[in-house]
Amino acid sequence: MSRTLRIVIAGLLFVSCTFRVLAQDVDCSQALAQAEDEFTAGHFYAIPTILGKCPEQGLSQEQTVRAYLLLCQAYLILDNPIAADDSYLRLLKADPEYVASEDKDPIDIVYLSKKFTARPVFTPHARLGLNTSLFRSIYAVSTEPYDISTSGSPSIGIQLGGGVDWNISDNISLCGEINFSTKSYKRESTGIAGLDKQNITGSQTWFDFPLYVKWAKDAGNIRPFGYAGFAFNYLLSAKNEFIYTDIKPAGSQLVAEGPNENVTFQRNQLNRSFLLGGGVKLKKGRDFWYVDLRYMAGMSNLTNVDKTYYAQPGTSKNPIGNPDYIMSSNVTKYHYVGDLYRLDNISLSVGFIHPLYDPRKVRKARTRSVSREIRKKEGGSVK
Amino acid sequence: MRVLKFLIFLSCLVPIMTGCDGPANVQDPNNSFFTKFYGLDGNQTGDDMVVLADGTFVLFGTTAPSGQGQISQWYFVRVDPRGMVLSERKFGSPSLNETASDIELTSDGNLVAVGNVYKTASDRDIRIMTLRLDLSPIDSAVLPVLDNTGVVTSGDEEAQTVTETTDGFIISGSTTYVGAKPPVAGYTDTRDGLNIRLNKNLTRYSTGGWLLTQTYGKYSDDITVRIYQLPNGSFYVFGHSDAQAPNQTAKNYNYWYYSISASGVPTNDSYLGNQATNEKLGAVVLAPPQAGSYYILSGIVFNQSGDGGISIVALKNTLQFAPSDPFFLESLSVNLGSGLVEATSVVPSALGGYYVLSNENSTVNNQNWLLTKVGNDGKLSPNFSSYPLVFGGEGPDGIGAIRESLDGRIVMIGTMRTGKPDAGETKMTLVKVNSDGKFEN
Repeated sequence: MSRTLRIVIAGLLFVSCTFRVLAQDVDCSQALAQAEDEFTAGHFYAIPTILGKCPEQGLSQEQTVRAYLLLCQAYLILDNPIAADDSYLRLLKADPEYVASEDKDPIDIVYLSKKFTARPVFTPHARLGLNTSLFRSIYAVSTEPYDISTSGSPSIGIQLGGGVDWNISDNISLCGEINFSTKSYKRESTGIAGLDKQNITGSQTWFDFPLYVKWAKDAGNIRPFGYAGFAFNYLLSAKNEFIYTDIKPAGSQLVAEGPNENVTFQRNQLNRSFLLGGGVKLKKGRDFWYVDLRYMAGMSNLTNVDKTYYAQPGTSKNPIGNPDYIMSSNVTKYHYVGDLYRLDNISLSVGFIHPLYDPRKVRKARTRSVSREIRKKEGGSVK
Repeated sequence: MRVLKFLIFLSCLVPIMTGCDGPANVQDPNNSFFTKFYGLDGNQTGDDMVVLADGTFVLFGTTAPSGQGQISQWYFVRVDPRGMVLSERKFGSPSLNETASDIELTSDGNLVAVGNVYKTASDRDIRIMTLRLDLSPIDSAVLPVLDNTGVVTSGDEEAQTVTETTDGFIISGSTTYVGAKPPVAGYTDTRDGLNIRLNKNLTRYSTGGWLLTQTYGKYSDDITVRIYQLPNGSFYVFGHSDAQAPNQTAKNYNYWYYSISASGVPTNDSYLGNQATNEKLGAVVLAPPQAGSYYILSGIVFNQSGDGGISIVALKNTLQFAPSDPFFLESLSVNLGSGLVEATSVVPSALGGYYVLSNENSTVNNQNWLLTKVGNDGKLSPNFSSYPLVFGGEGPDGIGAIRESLDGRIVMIGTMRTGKPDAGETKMTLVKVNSDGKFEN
């Protein structure tokens, strides 16, 4: 077979398939329209046959929902509740966020809908953002025997991570996360030994494990949420950058500085926090983007009080002193002994939520209010 | 049900989580241990201290503003048990450098301090000052050594300590004014020891032979370090000397002790030490009665290659000036390195034994403080048997004195270089640690 012939045959096959799909779409749209006409005419038995396999293939999402709603109504009228349930379940699979309402749906559909939910059991999400930390001194610990002035300034860190929401109800979730974050703070002390100045930039890396209860609005394209809970935090590493400036009365300066110092061993690595936060979710298709502002208040003293004066074991060159208790050179070089402190953190994150919708029949349908409504419409007594 | 279980689990977590660390449940470490640097601009030293009955400390050292040619003055700082400054004062000549040596609490509840004033670069006189606990001065005097005719000499004096007597004070130290003595071949008469006895009003004690005994020594290098008055009015004097000791054939430094009668006549020269090493006395302290009331001597022993070690001697309370005087004589197995500033300080511990502070220079040009402890038998205490504890920074540091605070913690004063290790300012430094010598509760 020549090459030209093969191309022609392939082209014909492609065109044929395309027309076939288009034809099927057109057929299913016509079938849906015909089924709706038949329903209006009261010909309920024919509807499943007319629709055939169209709801599973060849219809848009909106048409699919219409088709399954039509089937539900038909089956309810035909007193085939199993088939009606099946049709509604398929409807939720096609549109998990579909909520039947009396405004747009027949009351028997609303009643039926109460037996089902598409609410995800678990909702995974991922986040990324910036944070700043607040240094909360418990006790100021200093080499200075005089009152000195200490101030802090903001420093930016990043965080990224993910979590899972366990959805207890349409609005309430129990949530867990694992986040990696860098946190930092800056401190400046002045008036040391007269005019001297000490600058410290603390840089830390953490794993944060928040657990919290979240409330979120369950409908609409913009859904606010808020939460409160606790977090365990594990400090992976802590480094300090020191600069000590000896300022003479005549104005000259003598600066002591060096490479960043590892001070992890001077820290308690396990921290506890409570957290408060909130934000908004923006619906995008079946998923969400969100913006989250979180305040995580550290509850643990981060300074290992028995190590704060010492150098990291094994790092000192002194050959005769107890290697576990060699005085840190930071004490003399930078006049530095760490405060006992907690570290609060404010973070702003953007994230992505991918709900794992799970259409299913609920164990206990909440149909009482709909029943009452039906009885009201039928003129029955209302209790 | 699962949700309920989870909520129960969560509610169990809440109490664990809600305990927030704060002043209510976290101990303030400043009450237990600290390192504090005293002095504003310039260089300060920490040389000695006393612990007062109210738990506060009076620190004694020197201070000099930054800049070349600035004058060093005496510097007193009274601090609370947390090391925070309550008051501080400077004293001294506006044109002559002064150095600090020793401060003691007197029986009338005041303070007495001694040090030196530099008349010239090579001629120091002794300054003594009495002051109240609020650091206000009572009296002071500058004391050059006088010759036999009462004329001021050009000797270079170095005060070591001052001790209160029944009627005044007595100062130990050394002077280069050695008078005229018959030469001893192979020896140099470098310095004589000082025994300057003063009345309460800081005038010289002229009764008996005391004016003559203000300097005492052989044709050698002799230094007195501490003098104790006995109930009978006589004195025991402790120091070191390179005079030839009995039973030794080579020139070397030994611990030297002798007595001075109440009328000022020195006698009973005795020596302790090894011919192969140089023993240099740093401090003497009287052990408490429950520990035998021994005289505890701490010093540095230098070997032939110049490396230093710590030596501890307990001398019986009543000296016979005989080989039976030592209760123990121990050299601790620690090599302090060479090029040491030879200083030690010793204090009895309420828990038994003695804390010893010395300099160590095991890493060249980085002298630090070294703390160890010996038991009542002079052997290293278990907590210090493996390692001593080292304090200091990257620059050269030097010890002053060690004391025990009223709450049983160790307090140490000295000098540390802060800031840039090679050029930073030196600061009077007070370190308070627990009874194991650690920055721990």
